[in-house]
Amino acid sequence: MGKNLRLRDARREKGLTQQALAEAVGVTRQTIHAVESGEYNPTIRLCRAICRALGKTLDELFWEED
Amino acid sequence: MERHYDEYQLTIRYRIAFRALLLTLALILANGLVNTFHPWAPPLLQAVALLLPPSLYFFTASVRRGAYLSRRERHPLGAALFFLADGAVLAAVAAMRLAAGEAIARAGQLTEAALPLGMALFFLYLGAVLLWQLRRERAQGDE
Repeated sequence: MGKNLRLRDARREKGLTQQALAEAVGVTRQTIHAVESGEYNPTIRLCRAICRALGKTLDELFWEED
Repeated sequence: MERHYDEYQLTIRYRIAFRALLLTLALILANGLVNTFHPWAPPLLQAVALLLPPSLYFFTASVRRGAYLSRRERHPLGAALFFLADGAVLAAVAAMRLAAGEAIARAGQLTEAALPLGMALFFLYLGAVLLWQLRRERAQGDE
């Protein structure tokens, strides 16, 4: 699983740190770091929460391009 | 219901806990074999000693992966200092017992005097690992 650069870029675009996004979503900073670095494949529930916090769609942040 | 651990932490903790369980089972079997030929410590001390490696493994692995402290933990430094304080107290107890002439081992067996020493090292290790992880996370930064 590769790094999720789109997520990282979207977070930075909103001016949020990993800690701030983690608090907005209800997880730890390490979890956000793990999702961004590709170490962890989040559940759809967490994906939706992240999308809601960043104002993006699932496709924009989590759809894997071939 | 707000969980103490998020989904990532739970996944990591379950995985680590399963490995710790396998380690515990292996140690129990090994201890049974060793005890057959040479009892190496009183039963209570053996039980505590058997629990230490899997506990240390679980703790170290979960701290390293950020899955030890819950989301609600507001003072991780406090948790580390608490462990270190426990270790210091137990180390003092161990030192007093050793100074009073109690031996850690006798006739090829560990004695009860080894227990506070072992527990002191355990808690000092927990505190040190937690401090190390906190320092590592701070150095990692937050992009």
